[in-house]
Amino acid sequence: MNAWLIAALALLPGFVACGVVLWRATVLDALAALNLAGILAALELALLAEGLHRSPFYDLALVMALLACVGGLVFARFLERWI
Amino acid sequence: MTWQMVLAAILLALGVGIELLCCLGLLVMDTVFDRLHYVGPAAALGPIAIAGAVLLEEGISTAGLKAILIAVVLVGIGPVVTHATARAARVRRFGHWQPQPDEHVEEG
Repeated sequence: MNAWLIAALALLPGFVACGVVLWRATVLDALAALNLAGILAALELALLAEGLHRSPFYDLALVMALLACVGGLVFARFLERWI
Repeated sequence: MTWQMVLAAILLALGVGIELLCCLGLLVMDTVFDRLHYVGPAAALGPIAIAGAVLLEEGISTAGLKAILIAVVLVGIGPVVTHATARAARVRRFGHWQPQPDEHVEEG
């Protein structure tokens, strides 16, 4: 196990914090937690790609970052008025 | 151990630490506006530190360039998402995003 995988492991408790907010708070608080969880997921995938020495895995992290951001924007737009 | 490896380890620890602190802040704050103050640094500072660590480790390679691209996406779009979330919260509370009559807003 190298430093990158240890860092990826250390990031995991962050998802628990986001999960607690998602579970217990209001819908807009949950959206903030979802945004943070998306960022964490993208960084987690990047750290795993570096730790496992698999350069193509960075594509997953890049797609995750893009989809998390666009998904957050769509959720915010819909939660603004329609949901 | 070269100075690049030491600096990469420091940046890696810094990036992970920032992300965990932001998660802790998200957990302990009460309102959505307070919580959003912790989403911003997580989208800006953490990815820059981690991308810097990868760049120091790999140099200008496919992995290094993709790490930069991930950081650019998160730093570029993350604040927009944070702003959109805050705006959605305000619109849901007041019905619109403009200042209330009793709110003092300085014109720029």
